[in-house]
Amino acid sequence: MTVEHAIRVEGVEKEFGSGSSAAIALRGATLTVPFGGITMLVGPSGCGKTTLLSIIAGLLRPTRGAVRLLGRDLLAMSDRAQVDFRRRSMGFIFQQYNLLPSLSAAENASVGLLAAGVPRRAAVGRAAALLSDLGLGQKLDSLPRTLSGGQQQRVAVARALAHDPSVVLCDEPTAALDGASGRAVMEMMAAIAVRPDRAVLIVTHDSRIFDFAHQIVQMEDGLITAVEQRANPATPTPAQAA
Amino acid sequence: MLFVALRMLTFDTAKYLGLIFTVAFSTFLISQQASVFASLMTRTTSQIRDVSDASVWVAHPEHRYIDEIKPLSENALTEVRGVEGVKWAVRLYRGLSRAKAADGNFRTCITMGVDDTTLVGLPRKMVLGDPQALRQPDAVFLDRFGYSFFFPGQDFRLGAELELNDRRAVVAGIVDSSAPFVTFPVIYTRYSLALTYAGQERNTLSLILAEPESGITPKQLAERIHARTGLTAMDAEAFGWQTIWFYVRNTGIPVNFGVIIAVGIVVGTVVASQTLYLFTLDNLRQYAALKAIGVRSATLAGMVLVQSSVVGSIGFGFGAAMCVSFFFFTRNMPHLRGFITHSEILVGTAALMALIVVGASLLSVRRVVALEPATVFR
Repeated sequence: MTVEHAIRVEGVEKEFGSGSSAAIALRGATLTVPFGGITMLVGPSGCGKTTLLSIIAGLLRPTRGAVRLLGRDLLAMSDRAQVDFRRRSMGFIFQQYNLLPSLSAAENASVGLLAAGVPRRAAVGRAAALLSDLGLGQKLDSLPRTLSGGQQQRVAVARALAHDPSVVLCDEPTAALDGASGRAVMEMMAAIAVRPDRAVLIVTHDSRIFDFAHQIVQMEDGLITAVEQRANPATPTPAQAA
Repeated sequence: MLFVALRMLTFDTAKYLGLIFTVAFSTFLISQQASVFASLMTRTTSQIRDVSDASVWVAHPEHRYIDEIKPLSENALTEVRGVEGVKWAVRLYRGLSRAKAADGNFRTCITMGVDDTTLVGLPRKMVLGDPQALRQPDAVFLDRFGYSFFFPGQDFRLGAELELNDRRAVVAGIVDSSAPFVTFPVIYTRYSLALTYAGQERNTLSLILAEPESGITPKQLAERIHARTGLTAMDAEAFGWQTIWFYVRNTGIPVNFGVIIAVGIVVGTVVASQTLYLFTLDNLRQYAALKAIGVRSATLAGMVLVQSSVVGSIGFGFGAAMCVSFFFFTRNMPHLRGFITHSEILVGTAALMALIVVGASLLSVRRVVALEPATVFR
């Protein structure tokens, strides 16, 4: 069966708490994320971007609505099946990198593979190759604390991509970086992460990186308010991609 | 993910050592105090354990324990010898006498009078001299710590003299006897000579040592002797336990040690549990990231258990080593003589520490399993 969209969210609502103290984070969000490009979910703080991302990742259950990833109904899966699906099919990039401080760059990048049961040597080898592609070949054995913010985020990118996921979910990947580092990370993402069989969804309010998006989805007050398709997003030069 | 768990554990050396030494000191506190208590109780039976030639002890029915004996009449020995199954039975004297060295240094001593003919009742291990030397006139054997008390700084030598209740006694041998409950020196001499050192009473026979014929167990013989003579008779082990229970019931020792050991267990449990739990809390964000990436809760729980097990094992190892070292380095101190680490106590402490570590792990595992992975997006 051919899957048309990587991610399909329909009428998703999310309430935190109940009764008079209930807080409504999402009010029926509907979203489609296609393969082969970068979709950016943008909007002001508190508009529900991160909540929607958590629901798409299977880390939060919506109060109402439907979520399909790669053609599968995420909400119909058991918790365990969701975890396995997440491990196989999704890659994550976090705002604060969330690297394990005790592991080297190569080991950090291999965590997803290790979790999937790949033997340590093979996992670290694959991660190291990817890190070299990302320009960190000289930093494979470095601990996160010795790396700059941009370098740490590149390790996080490698960790997200090492197990070859079909969906990559990013939460404010450039928020903790200066302009140049943020742009460098996005160029890497555009060069390495974007493939015809993969979707990249980025939650961000960093307008400096909007020009890398194929699709920009605007959120406000728990609702999707606009979707903009962009024909010619920024693409890295061959030198940048290397 | 095993190596990830171990790296997380050992990455911060200060925290790692803190965890290890929390478990180590808890182990030390519990095992050391329990061993001191057990050793103290064992010391109450030292004169019983040092008699290795006889397996049955016969005492007056009204005796309380080895340190409170009502003397028997000489007829008792004849009666015991007449019981079927008794291979032999001999006299044993146990009392206190005051010994004085040439320099005026004096001390109350435990005086053991062994059978004149067979010398049954002597400890097996001689530090200096020959057991047969006890047959010489005025001969006594002194335990090595008693010798060091009466003749401080002097090498062991035979022929040194003491006064025992104003009578001359010649040190004809030095024995390695077990440390008594009180740190009195122990003097061994022949039964007949012991009576001359003791204050005179009508009856002087403290105890009778007997040995069963082959095919009869000490317990069976003890029952027969009791049935035939009305005297109290026990095998050596039961006689030792009678003494231990006397101290347990009639002194504050078990209560005091019990309180200390209980405090050790409570403090060890609380501190070790809290430290292990706080370590997990410190790493919650890392666990949340791993969970978001797709690491199963069971795997994370396994990681926590591995970390706790490693801390528990190494900490227990250090604590046990500290306990064993304590008793090793204090083994020659007179007041700590005979104090050892009991293997049963180490096994018990290991089980207790395992329980503490598993308990703390379960708290941590519960927290990790319940952890909301979406927190990594906040």
